[in-house]
Amino acid sequence: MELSMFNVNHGFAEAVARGLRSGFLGPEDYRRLGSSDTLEDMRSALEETDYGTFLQDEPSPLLVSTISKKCYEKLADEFRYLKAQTVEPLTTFMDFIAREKMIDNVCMIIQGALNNKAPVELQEKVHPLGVFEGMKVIMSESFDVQGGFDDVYRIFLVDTPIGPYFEEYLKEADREKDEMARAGIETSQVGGILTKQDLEIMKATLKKAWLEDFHGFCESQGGTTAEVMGHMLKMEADFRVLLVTLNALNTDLSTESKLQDRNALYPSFGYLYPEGTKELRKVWNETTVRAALEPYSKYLSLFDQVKQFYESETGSSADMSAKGFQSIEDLIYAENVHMYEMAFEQQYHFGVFYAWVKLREQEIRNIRWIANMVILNTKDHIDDTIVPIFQPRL
Amino acid sequence: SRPPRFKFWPPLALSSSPVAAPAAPPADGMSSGGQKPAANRMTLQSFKGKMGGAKKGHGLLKKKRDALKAKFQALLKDIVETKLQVGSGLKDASFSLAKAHWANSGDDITSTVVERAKRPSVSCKLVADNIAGVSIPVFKMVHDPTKDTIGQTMGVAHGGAVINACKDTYFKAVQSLIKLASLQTAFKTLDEEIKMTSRRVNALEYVLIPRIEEIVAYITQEMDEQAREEFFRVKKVVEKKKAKIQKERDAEEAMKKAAGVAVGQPVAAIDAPSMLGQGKDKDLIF
Repeated sequence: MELSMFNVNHGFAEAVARGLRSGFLGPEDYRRLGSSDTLEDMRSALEETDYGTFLQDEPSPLLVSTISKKCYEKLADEFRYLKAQTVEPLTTFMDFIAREKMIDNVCMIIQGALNNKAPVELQEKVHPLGVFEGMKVIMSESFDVQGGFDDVYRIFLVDTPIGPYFEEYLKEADREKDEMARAGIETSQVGGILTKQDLEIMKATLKKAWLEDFHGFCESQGGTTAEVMGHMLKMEADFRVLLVTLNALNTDLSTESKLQDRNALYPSFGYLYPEGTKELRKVWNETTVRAALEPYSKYLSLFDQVKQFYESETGSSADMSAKGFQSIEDLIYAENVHMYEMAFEQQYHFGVFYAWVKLREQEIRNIRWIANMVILNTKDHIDDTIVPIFQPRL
Repeated sequence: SRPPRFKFWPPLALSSSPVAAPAAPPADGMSSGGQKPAANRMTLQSFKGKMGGAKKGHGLLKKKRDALKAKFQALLKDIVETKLQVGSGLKDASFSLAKAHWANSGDDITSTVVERAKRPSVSCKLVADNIAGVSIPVFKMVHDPTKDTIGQTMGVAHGGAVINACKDTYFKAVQSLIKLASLQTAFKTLDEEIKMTSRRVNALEYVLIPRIEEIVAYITQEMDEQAREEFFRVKKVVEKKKAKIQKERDAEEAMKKAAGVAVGQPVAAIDAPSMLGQGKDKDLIF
């Protein structure tokens, strides 16, 4: 069925996406970027790629953050254009992709509000992909912190696409609040919750909720989309589990009392679910992690490669990163890129859009890393960190 | 008259009138411009005492200055070393920051860190240290790991460990920065101290001691002169007295001559009546 009906609605969008696929930076471009001595050279090197003259208007002393921001804006423009060409259900799908960045933006605004910063000051740091209508309204208002939260929640967040995730989060946090209320502590409803909880954990929880929602949506689409996206999202969920576990290893999220919090960040789907996650909920150091990952050879090998980075006994982690040990993020990026490239091999599914956005993000990361290395004058580190996208296959 | 000697330590609150009418000579002989101390043994002793004190002080200050200079050189070497350390430390820290950006899905973590940082966990304490008698400030780092909480949960879902590694690298860089700050303040303070001590040494050597020497020389000179004067005067007085006595005797003799007594005859030693001189003696009657 798909073979015949897909192109009716989504053919144009997919064609545009595949056209954009050829705009990725190739090995030539990376080489030229890597041989620049200053950011100005990088600017001229980028002009010859699909990025074109997007940096033209920037004043002369270029900053790494400017380059990065401009890249994201270009991505956001192309994304919006693409989204405008779509019809349902592809539009919702693309909205899902953008929601991840919306979560980032809203969390940042809340963090800023906690520090009594007016939202307009954060305008600069907003992620371009995650802009939605309600956000402009939030940004334009100047509200006071504590009292404002209830308004913020009631008026804006409920209506936005990420409202339901907040609801889920607040429900969970509410349970805690009930306990506290029984203990006699008074807190105003939303504001109290939002200030008491650690914002990072809130962000991670929101993202987990988003991931699960996204997965549900893809499954409901059926066909190739469900197959391809299902696979990609399951891997994403597993990687998230790995990330949370490994990053929490050396912090106090691994202590007995806090394990609950950490485990709440495990998504409830993926290849590791349910047996793997059941095991992983109990782990608290490297050996237990290893034991839990036994049945999953792929993840085990990943873990073994980066084990040294997380060892808490041998030296400080500063030495680790200085010596060039890879952390799990590096490996995950490589795995992900491979996975996304594969998505382009099949046709008639929505996965290409998701893969395209993710690959562009990786490219922007690469560019940012190169820019940093150019500034620090340590260009020899470039090649061992960036992940080349769409390497020509010999 | 001699040109007036300049004041050693000019009083700061000098009235603007250029007419420096010297006041009544102060009891202490160390005044300026034409006021000389009384030239007696007591002042000599006091000035000799001052001289000894000044010479001893001069020697001590010289030793202090040399010690300070040696310390200074050592400090300079330390500073150069630490500066290099700071340079490379900050470079490593920037590199680890780039890595943290990479690991945190490419977004800018600096804004998040700035937002989340509430209370500083590293602060500086100022203590006073003593080097060769000079009190210099030293910065000590006070690290309170309990306030480090933001590092715990940041990036828990993405690159937290790398962010922590970045934090550690910056921590090391901050440590060497604090050390450098201590060294540089010490450097500056020592520099001032050395200058001051040098000034004092020179002042003693070229102004104060020669002055005292001069005064002592003057006193001894005066005293010698006085002694000589005294001697001469005594001599003259004795002479005059002798002359006076002689004159008186001469006058007496002149008077006796004028009274008509045989002067030429030597006067017998004993004025015994002579047998020949007087008349007939009474006849002896039997």
